[in-house]
Amino acid sequence: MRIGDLATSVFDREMRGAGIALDFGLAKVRVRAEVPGFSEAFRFLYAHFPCEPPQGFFEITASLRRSRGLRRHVRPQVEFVVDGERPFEPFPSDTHVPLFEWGVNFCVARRCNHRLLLHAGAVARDGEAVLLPALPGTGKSTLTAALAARGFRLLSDEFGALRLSDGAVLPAPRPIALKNESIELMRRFSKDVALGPTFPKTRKGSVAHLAPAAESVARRHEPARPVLLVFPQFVRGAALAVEPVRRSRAFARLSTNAFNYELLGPAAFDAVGRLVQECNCYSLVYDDLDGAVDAIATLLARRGRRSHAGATSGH
Amino acid sequence: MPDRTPGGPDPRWRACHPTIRSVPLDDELAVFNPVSWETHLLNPGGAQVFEVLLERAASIRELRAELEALRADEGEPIRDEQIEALLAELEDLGLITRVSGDADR
Amino acid sequence: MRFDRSAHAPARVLLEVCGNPSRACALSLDEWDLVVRAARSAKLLATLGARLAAERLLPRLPRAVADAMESEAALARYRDQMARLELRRVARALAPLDLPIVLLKGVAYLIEGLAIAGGRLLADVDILVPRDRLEAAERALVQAGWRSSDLDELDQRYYREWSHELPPLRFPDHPLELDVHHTILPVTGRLHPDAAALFAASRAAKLEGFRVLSPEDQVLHACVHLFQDSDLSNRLRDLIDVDGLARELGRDDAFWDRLLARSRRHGLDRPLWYALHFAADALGTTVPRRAFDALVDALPSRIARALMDRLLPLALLPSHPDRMPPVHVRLSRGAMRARYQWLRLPPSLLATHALGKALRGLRMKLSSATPEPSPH
Repeated sequence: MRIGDLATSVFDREMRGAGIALDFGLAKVRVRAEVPGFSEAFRFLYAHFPCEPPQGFFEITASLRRSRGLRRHVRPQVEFVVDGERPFEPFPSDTHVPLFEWGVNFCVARRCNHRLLLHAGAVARDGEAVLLPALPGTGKSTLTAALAARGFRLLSDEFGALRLSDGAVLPAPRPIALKNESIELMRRFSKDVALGPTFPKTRKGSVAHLAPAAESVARRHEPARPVLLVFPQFVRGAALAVEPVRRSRAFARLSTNAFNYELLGPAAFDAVGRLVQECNCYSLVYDDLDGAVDAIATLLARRGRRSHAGATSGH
Repeated sequence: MPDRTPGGPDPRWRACHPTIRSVPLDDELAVFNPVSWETHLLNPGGAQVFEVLLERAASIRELRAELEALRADEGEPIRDEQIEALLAELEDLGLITRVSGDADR
Repeated sequence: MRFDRSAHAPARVLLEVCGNPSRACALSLDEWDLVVRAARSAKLLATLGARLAAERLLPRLPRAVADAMESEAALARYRDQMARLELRRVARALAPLDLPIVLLKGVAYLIEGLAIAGGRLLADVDILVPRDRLEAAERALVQAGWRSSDLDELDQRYYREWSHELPPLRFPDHPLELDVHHTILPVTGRLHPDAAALFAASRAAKLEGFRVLSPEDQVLHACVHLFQDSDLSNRLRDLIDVDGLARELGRDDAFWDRLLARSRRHGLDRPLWYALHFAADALGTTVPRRAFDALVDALPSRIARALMDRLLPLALLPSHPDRMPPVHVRLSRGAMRARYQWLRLPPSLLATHALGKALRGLRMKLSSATPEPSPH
């Protein structure tokens, strides 16, 4: 039984009552919400996730509550509450999903420091992972969404989470947040994309979420081995350009990119060192999503043809 | 043996932490300073010097000889000031320390 | 047990497991869910993890629970490392002044390798210097790069004239603040421990250039830190410090006599009584009967005792994770805060300061050590 199979009224009742359990691989969330519209949007975006009882141990227990302040009469607001605390200011109550997603990201970054958390998109094919470390604004979420739409397994659009013991990438497939023009772009890119409602006028402009595909969700407990590091940069009008990146440069970029490089100290050094040694590293400048996806697919295929033992420097 | 010139011994350096974590990245070297928890990236010249100092104490003269041997005498000759500047930087970062060549202390 | 009556289930279980780690093996996943969340908000999750690790019990816990503790342990290790770095810088900056620098609280426990240092999540670095060298120390630190907090004039005055510490200093880009104290309680408070005696009894720390308080003074500091210098809200951790110190330092029976003598010398019998009373109640600290007997003159009035017995557990323990603090907990915390202001400032000064910023704002010293995730 999956979340999408539940009747809306039943789901809504659970959401307002005991809460909904969500296991997205990297962590489990127990969520309760009493905000109109949220359960419907949630049910669409998390449709492929199995129904599980909200009992047991959860990394994150959160609720979306209507603000209690006097403002609630003038402009209704919603708060993200986790363990009795409100980490951020309330959002307007019609931007509940962006608030929920933001809140979960926040909790993951604070509670998953037993993993190295890269700020990166991550996809996989046949057990091999491609990591796309990038700052906000470089188009990594859109590119990750495009790769997922073209058959790559979605691992994450936000956290490239590495297991410290062996460097494996741990999946966390969740709705991909697309902003402004990217929303329309993805609609044109693939007819099958499952786009949730658009939330206009958030602080980042319009935001809509792409639901993760059934297979990505089903395989959320399957780690993948990182083989390719691609630093993407969207540049309007630019010709496609793929360049190898020196390992030392890749190391430097990853250490500043990771959420918790400094925090983890020697463990992070070891993990990034291993990652950079085991992966081929490239930069990718692109304007056209199709071209970018093809380029990454090619890099991945080319990587497979070289023997693993023989692979030394990037080029 | 420390190289003694009349008037004083040759200063030598060695790495502070002989078992320091390091990762070779092509011909460069990433190093993790266990005291400051900082990460440093050394270019090929820096990496070569540092690797010598991980194994043993060495003076500028000895390091120059080492580097020239590695390069098989290609390129411009290495000047002592270049090595001095590099050593000063490594010392500043807390990666190497001066050891006295004077056995009488 | 007062704590038993007042505590909600997660807090009760947390107390049990802290005191008796082997109980952890019997917890269900549902219980773990609540205990981990309560521990995290009490800043005790890493401490709990350290105690379980010491008993080699981590492999026997559910994987997700051990992982949550490991995440918190990483945070604690980072702060320990940053504290050591800060101390090295402080030693270099203050060396020319040749003054005694005494480590306090968390950094003292860390450097001395006390059991309670395990998983302690340091919030800042606390040091004690003589009052007459305070200005010189501040100048040297600022010279060496530390920056004073951005406080308005009223708050600066509060710190400098009334308090027992400088406004917090911070070395640029460093996650921990440096708190330079000249005594262990506010100057304007009602109790006046003998600062000179603190220095006289201090001993060399296990880190060159620093000293630590005598064991008796360490215990007394932990007691006054909780019962005179805090608002007692969500401060279980401080009580755990008192319990841990008493266990580790009080193994030698003669310690208790020295502690009592010292307390009398400093005039700290009342907070000592409170701390031992509640630590024994909540955590089962073994306190010799004669210690309570010796403190009988310092007992608060029966009414005060009854009130504290009722209110303190509610205020001290973390709230139930699933509920916003219920009204009576909020009231308890409010009462504790009122007590805190009363203890710190004589009534005339209280009025002046209440017009300015809230006291609590000044006491917020916790700096975030994890980078902000980019919210999408």
